[in-house]
Amino acid sequence: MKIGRGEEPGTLLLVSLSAASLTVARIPSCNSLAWMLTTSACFILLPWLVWITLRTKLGGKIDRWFPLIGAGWAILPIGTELLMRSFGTGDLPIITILVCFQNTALILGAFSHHERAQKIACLFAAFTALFAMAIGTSTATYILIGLFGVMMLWWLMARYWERVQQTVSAGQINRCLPLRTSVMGALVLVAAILLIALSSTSASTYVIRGFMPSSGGTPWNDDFASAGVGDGDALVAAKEEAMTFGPVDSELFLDSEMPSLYDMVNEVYGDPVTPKKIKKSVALAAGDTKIIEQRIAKSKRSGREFSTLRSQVDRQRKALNDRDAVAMLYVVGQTPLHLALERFDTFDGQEWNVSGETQGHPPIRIEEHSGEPWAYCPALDTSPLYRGFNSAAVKFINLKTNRIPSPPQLTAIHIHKVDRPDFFGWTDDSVVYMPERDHIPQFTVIHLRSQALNLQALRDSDFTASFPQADQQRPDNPSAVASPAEVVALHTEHESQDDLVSKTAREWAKTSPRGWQQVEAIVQRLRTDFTLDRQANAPVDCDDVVSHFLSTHRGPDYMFATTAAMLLRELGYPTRLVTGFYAHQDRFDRRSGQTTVLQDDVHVWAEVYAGNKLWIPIEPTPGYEPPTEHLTFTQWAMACAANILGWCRRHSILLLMIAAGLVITFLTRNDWLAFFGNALCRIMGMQSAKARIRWTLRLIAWQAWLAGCQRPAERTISSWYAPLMRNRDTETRRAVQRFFLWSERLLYSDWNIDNDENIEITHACAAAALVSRHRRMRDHLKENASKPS
Amino acid sequence: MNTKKTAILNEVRDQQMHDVTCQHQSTIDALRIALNQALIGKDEIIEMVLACLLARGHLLFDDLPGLGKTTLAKAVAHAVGGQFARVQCTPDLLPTDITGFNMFDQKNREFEFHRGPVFSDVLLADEINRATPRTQSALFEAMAERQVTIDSQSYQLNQTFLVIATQNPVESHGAFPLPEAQLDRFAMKLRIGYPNRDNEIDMLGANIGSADSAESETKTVISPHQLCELQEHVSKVALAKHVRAYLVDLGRATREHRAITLGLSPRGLITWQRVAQARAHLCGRDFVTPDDIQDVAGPVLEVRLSGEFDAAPKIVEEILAAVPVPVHETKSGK
Repeated sequence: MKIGRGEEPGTLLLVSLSAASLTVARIPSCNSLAWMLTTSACFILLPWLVWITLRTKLGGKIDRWFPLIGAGWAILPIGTELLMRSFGTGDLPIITILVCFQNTALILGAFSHHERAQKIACLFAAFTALFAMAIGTSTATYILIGLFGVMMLWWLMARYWERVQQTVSAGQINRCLPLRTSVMGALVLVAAILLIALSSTSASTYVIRGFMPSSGGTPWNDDFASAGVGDGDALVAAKEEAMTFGPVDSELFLDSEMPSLYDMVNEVYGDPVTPKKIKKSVALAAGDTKIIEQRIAKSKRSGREFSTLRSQVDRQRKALNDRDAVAMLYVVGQTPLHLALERFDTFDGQEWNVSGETQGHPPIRIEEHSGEPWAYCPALDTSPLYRGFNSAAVKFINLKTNRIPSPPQLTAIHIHKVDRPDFFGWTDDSVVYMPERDHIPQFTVIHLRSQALNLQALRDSDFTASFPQADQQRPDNPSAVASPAEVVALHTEHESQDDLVSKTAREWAKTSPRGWQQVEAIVQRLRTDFTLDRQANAPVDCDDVVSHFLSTHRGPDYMFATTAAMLLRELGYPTRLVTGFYAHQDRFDRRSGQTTVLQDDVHVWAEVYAGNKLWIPIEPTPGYEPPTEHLTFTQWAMACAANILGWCRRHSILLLMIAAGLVITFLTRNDWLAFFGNALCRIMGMQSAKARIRWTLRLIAWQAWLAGCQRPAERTISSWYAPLMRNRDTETRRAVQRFFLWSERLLYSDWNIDNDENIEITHACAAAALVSRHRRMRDHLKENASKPS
Repeated sequence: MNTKKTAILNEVRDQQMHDVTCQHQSTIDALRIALNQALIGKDEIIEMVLACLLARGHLLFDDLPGLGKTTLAKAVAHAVGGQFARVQCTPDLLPTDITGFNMFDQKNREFEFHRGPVFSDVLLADEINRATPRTQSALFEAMAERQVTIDSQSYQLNQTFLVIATQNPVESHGAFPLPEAQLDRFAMKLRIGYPNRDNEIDMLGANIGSADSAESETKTVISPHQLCELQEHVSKVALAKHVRAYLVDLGRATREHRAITLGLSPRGLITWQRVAQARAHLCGRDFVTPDDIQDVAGPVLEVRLSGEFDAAPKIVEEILAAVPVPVHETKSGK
């Protein structure tokens, strides 16, 4: 075997060897071994098929299509990669690029009888082998690359020997190798990039972070990345494989402290500010004074509050190497999901507090389902609002709390092997927690089951009508379970410092009938007219943050929730504030099928009391989806229709433009089709004179079809098309006539083209293409008032 | 045939004629001019006559009296330059009046053969349908095999022997329609038709000053030998395989057509191919296109399709419409 001879398979063998080494090197890191091996086998074997076919009768034909086949083969891996990604598996982008290189080398190897293709194939093969060596760890890779190295050396020697022979026979000696400027330039560029990349780690990290995907923690992360710049999610990967790097055996994590709820909220929203001096006198009705005093006392006991006065969060201090994307929780199940952790019921104008007024939750009981213990906390009787169930699972990753993040209307909890009811309890702010524990251990998976709601029944009537009156008698023992009347009274309590809140509330609610529609009107107004701005905190000396928020129209999410709660209380709807997590659907990772909840997903929303111990969450913050409502089919269809209509209305200009574009495209469709036909004819006609005639004939047929005068099968070419292509210009007419002569010759005789005829044919084809415009053909048709007969 | 289309096609072929080198082109041009002068304004008919001549076919003119049938036939005979003979067919015409006969020579005491008008280069059989079938049949052998057999003795006719017959389609009294076997021996049937107005004006103008109302004599432009060469050359014009297949499909379509009792015979197909070859040659091409086949389809088929006088063109049209034209490239191999 002589390597370097186009007739021999040496080049292709060399290239195949480099491709094989890359394939072997990819084995440890690939997601689907079967798929990878199948595609690699195809990629390597099909060029061999091309190589063999090139040596058969079909060879000439295939050789003509070399550029097209080459380009297609080179970019094919991108197509297969996209296909695989749509199925949820895939490779690193860098591997895809490498496979593109490998394929380019292979197809060039198949066409190695072109001297230039042969040289480039070897260059690409060397490149591929180099990278295979860089990523490969197995012995097989090294053996293959060694083999490749030997063969490459052989090839280079052969090339050199050929060159020497040529030089000697030419009788002159070239002392130095000709190095083209472009090659030198490319080398300098590569060297410069390498210099930047290697000289300083931090600088290179900064420079290449847009090019190299990371595994997370930066905006450039890629789902399919297994490594990269930054750490991010990968740090908590110990959940899947014991061998992976994870927080359990990581010094990094041993040192770090898991944030408590309080820390986390402060981290996200800024530290609460305590006004230096509080002077506040509130005029209260004589009957209310006692209640307020009692509650304040309870509030102090619990020691938990949520302040709406907070200092600015300095977002700039986060550098790239901060682990700011460490997950708090992983959630499996439908998203967006509101997971409540704390609830607050009293508000003093600046701070939310927990009154500790217990709402009498029934004791939690354990029931077994499918051999697994489930803790049931059915707080409610059956309600007409219930419709089906929701299931979710939460995995604790980096959150230090003994409270269980609960979706709205939580009914059951399951933790593997936890089968004692005393492991669960209710906090005084109606959250299920694990009383015996300081915090729920890391990686605990909690399965949650909750009731799904359909609020239609609520919308149809005033649900507050059934509330017991606040002035009903209170039980003597204040520590006893609060009566429904007390619950309503406590949660509708508000301090009206100025008219703005009450005026706004009435103004916004006046068009809606009392009931849930008013609640929705208030929420909707906040969602549309106000802007979410985490930096827009109320000033430290602000007495009434709600009024401030109503006047500035911007603020963080807790101000939306607070304002919604206070406006609704103003209208007599019982409300409370909820803090917790919002599992964002954008953070859904399709590979693991779970949603990551980060520290940034701390969220505040409100709940409205609908009677019968039923608290319904509302979402007044724009950008956060309201809790999912389970609709009946009719409601769903109506909502869909309304959404579509609304979308159309919102994008009316865009839709109009699209419609106009479509209409214009439709009206000019023939011109477009003719244009594309013409372009195709020109491209395909580049091959040879015969191809030019053939494609011009097809173009004429295409134009005639567009003009509505397709050639009947029984009519000959010239008798049908010639009358449609009449032209006044003698020169053009002659050229067209000559075109028909050529085409008849092509179709009906054994014709060998002389070189002299080539230019003439080109001219004739161009003239024929020119006069065969479908509009002209149609004009001829109209002139004749009938098709040519 | 549509005049407009004909004009355009002629334009195309004019162009082709200028482009393709053909050593016989000047001869053909001279022939064409000579015939055009004899019959003004009937270019297409003359093209057909020329095609028939080059294809070694016999010609039947089927038209009304006074439209120039005899004039054209005589012009062809004169232009070819061979011996011209004319037979006025009547019911009392005998076969021997055409072929010739053996006569006992009293002096030499032996039979002597007296050649009939078939021993010529161009035989004009005027009003052929007035001859009895017996007489008409005398032409069978002469037309098909270019020989006559009298008293067991065969006599070869000239190689360029051409029969030009005329018949009057409207006067059926005392006429004997030609049998199918006879019709099949003609290459084509032509209808000259009335000239158009301008051509008639020109015709009258050309007649002024000529005391003899008879047509001016057509000059001889080609010798029988040259004609033979031309005919030989024409027979070599190529037909691609798929074009031949197209021709065969057309032939089969005639056999399947419901209005045709007797479809095209293989001899008819061969004649059609020859005429198409001649047509291609006249257009300056050395290969036959489906256009050539279609162009000559009317005259070639009409002579073979028995039926009403006016129905034939429509039937031909239907047959052509039944077979798709091949528009793919020729495959290697003839």
